[in-house]
Amino acid sequence: MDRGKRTDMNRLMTELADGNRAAFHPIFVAAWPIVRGFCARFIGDVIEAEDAAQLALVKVFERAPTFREGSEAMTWILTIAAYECRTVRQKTRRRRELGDSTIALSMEKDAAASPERELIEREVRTTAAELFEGLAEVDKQVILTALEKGERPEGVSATAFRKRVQRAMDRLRFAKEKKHGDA
Amino acid sequence: MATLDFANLEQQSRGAYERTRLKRALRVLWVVVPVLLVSLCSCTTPHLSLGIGALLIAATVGFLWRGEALGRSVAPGLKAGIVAFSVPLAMHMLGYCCRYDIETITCVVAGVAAGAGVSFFASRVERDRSKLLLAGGVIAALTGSLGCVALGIGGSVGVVGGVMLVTVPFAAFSLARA
Repeated sequence: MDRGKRTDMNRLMTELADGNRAAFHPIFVAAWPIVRGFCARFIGDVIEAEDAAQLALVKVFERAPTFREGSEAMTWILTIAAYECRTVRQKTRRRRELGDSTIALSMEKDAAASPERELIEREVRTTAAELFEGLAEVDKQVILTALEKGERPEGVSATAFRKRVQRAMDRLRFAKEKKHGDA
Repeated sequence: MATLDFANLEQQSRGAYERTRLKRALRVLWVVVPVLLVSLCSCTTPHLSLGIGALLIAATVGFLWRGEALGRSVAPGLKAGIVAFSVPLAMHMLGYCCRYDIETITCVVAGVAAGAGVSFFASRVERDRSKLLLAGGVIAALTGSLGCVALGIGGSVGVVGGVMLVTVPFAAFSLARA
C-alpha cells in the first residue's frame, strides 16, 4: 500500500471512529484483501486463513470506535489480524492434539486387534507413558478425565476445569517438545 | 466461522461496529443517572424529573451513538449543564432563592452561563459549529432543567430559555458565516 493510500486509510479510520458511517464501505473494501492476504501468509492453510480473516475484519470494525487519531490505520488493522491468526492457529493445534489423544485412547478400546494394531497400540502406550512420566499426578488425572469422560468432576467449575486441562496440556506439550524436539 | 459472502461479512462487521458504539454511548449513564437521582431526591415533582431525565438519557446516548458533531457536543453540554444544574439547586437548598424570591432569575442566569460555556467550547471548533452548539445546548438545557425542576416548572423553563438565549443566536451566526 503506497503512502497516499495509507494517509487516506488513516483519515477514513479516524472519521469512522468519530461516527462517520460513510467511511465504513471504503475501509471495508480496502482492508479485506489486505487482511485476507496477511492471514494467508500467517497461517498457510487457505480455509483457516479465510476464517481468521473474516473474524479479524469483524473485530477490526468492532474496535473501530476506539481507533485513535494519529495512529497508523494499517498497522492497527494488521495487529488485530495477527492476534486473530494466532488465536485460530492455537485453536487448531489444540483440536489436533485432542484428536490425536482421542484416537490413541479409542485404539485401546478396540477389542479385535490385529498384530499390527497391537504393535502400534503398544508403541502409543509406551510413548504416552513416557510423556506422562514427567507429568504430575494431578495433570495426568485431569487429562485422562477430559479425554475419557469428557466432563468435569463434581465440585469443579467449568472455567476452573478448562483452565486445569489447558495447563496440563501445556505441560504435556512442553514434555513432548522436550522429548522429540518438535515445535 | 462458516465462510461468508462479501455482503454478509460487511453486514456482520457493521453490526459489530454499531454494537460497540452503543455500548460506549451507554457509559454516559454513569454521569446522567446520578444527576437524575439527585434531582429525584430534591424535587417535589418526581414525574417531571423522570420525564426530563428520560429525555436527557435518550439525547446523550443517541448523540454519542450517532457520533460526529452530535457526539462531540455531549461532553461540553453535560459539563455546562451540570453547572446550571448544581448552582440553582444549591441556592434552593441553602434557602437563598426562597428568601429573595429569585428562583426564575437564578435559573435563567444559570442557563445563560451554561449556554456561554457551550458556545465557548464551540468557538474553538472549526467544523459543524452550529450543529455542535444546538446539540450541546439541548444537553445543557436538559441537564440544567433537572436541577431547576426543584424550583418549579418556571425554573426549568427559565434554564432552557437561558441556554437558548445564547446558543441559538450564536448557532445562527455560525450558520450564516459558513
